[in-house]
Amino acid sequence: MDKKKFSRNNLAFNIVSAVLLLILIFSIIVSLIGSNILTEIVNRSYGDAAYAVADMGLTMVNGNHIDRYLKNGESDEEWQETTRQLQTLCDRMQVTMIYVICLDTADYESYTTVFHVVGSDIDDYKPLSLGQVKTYSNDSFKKEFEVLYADDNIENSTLIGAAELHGDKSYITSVHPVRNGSGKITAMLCAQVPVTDMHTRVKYFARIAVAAIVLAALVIIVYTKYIRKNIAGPIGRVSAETKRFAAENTKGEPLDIVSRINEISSLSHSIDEMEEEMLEYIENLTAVTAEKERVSTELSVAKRIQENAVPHIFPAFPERKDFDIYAYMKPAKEVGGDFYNYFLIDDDHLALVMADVSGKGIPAALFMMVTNILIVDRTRLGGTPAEIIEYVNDTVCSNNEAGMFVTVWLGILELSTGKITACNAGHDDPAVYRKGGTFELVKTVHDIAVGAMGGLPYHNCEIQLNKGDKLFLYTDGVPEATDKDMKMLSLGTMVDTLNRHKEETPQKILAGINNGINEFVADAPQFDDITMLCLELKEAEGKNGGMPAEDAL
Amino acid sequence: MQISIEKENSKLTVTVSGRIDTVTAPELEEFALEHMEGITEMALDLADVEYVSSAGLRALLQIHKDMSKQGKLKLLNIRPSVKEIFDMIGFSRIFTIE
Repeated sequence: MDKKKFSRNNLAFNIVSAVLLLILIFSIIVSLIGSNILTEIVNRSYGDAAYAVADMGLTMVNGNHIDRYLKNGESDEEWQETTRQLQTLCDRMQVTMIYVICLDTADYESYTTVFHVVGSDIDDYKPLSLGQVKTYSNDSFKKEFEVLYADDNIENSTLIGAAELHGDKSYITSVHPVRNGSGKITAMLCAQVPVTDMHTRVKYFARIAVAAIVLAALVIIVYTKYIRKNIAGPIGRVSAETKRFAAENTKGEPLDIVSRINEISSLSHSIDEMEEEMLEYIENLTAVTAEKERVSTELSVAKRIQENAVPHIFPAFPERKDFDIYAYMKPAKEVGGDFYNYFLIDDDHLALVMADVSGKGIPAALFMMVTNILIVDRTRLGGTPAEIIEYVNDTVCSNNEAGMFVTVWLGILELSTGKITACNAGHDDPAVYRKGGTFELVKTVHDIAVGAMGGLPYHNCEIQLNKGDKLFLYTDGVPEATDKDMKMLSLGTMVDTLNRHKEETPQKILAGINNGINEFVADAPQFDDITMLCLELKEAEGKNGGMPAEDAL
Repeated sequence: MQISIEKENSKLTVTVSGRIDTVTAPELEEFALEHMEGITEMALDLADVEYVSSAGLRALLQIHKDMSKQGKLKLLNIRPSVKEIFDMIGFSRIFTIE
């Protein structure tokens, strides 16, 4: 935490340094503007005073007699009188000194003193005597004088800011050209005023500026604490907590931050809440995934149980040479509602079942298992298919709250005669191949699907098979196999496909149909369970038994 | 599948269009059940229904069973292709088809 405090990327550091920088810049700008304005005001007021004194002094000096004074020396009465007047002016106006000088117009390097009075209470300066020659060292002064001499038209005085204006001893000098009767400049009158309180004023201003900066610094210190407590601290904690949570995904101490800033408090609250919800979600997801895995395992077992509920080993009756049978079942999901079945009731009677439960998936599969067992058990007890189905229907309807039903085609084939007694409980009509002819649908009486309504009578019908004939049973998954454009295969196409393979063995006929379906459906997902069965009544006994088991379809 | 209804006192006419299959059948069943209260005569207009799957038939059977407790159910304007399915599955025997 301490390490973080000094990081340059820290929020508090950033905010404080930005505020500090702003205040500093602001203070400097204000100080500069302030001191400039102050200096100008002071300069102007002192300049005005110096101007007034010089202007007054000008009335006392006779510009025509400058040369005479220099020639006669201090014994000249007029010079003495003028000196006295200037002295009085100097004292009255409290100026440092008033002096009249003649500059060497050749290079303005030196000047000759004509009058020179110094204020009575001034100790820094000693009056120069008449005719005393002095050298100027100040270049800016020289320039001013040069300008004044060069231009006869300048009537106004020129103000010259003294050196060390901001020092302890600052002066402002006002210079007025002294002219003779013909307007020619004969000398320069200078009045120098002390800028006594300039320094104090600047100092005062500086003190205020420093006080302001110190105050600002104090405010910043307090503000920093505020920011650290209410913004940077909480944000740091939020950031640390989210980082921890992202890495560990475990429940941490709740942040519970109370900040004066509502957004921060609500952010902390939201983070706490989000963590809780996220953990709950993760827990749920884990549970759901585990559950899904479990269901998936169960389903694969269920699939095998369902597959084992019907005969699935081919050739089915290798010892029988009088008929050949093959069947195929492909659920749309792991488990399905379609089923086929076949079994010998006795040596001469073969039961054939093809059924389709409404719906798909687990409910259909459970219903399928029940009906399959009921049909098989009841068939073994004897009776006609209609009697069997009637019994199964009443049994199913007596307890069918799910409202499911199953279409069943049940036939009992008398192998010696080829006579099939069948009952069609709402199922698709079978297709029969007549030796030397083609597959055709055989329409018989339709009774209601099993489970739809109890207490209804069922009817038998007969189909006569001869040697070499074939029977094809299927569920609606075959004619209603759907491609990606929702187009169905149709019964017509199914019969056409059957006829392309009509001479082949039951196994190859089913393979042919299956290929036809796959070609038609292409990439579309399988919508419905597909189940089919094909039986061939063999022409001559002992010729060729069941087909050798080839790879599953 | 789309469903619209017309109610006149205790007589309800439900017009269905599209496919009644595994996906839409529960919707139809639920819809019919919701509007069944106080209805003694329900008519399902299937003129625009092009396909009814076994799940659809189950839903219709369920509606028939529920309605038979309180009144009558009629199926109207069934298309020949759908009528074929009804005939095949034997439902023509228990449903009143007009």
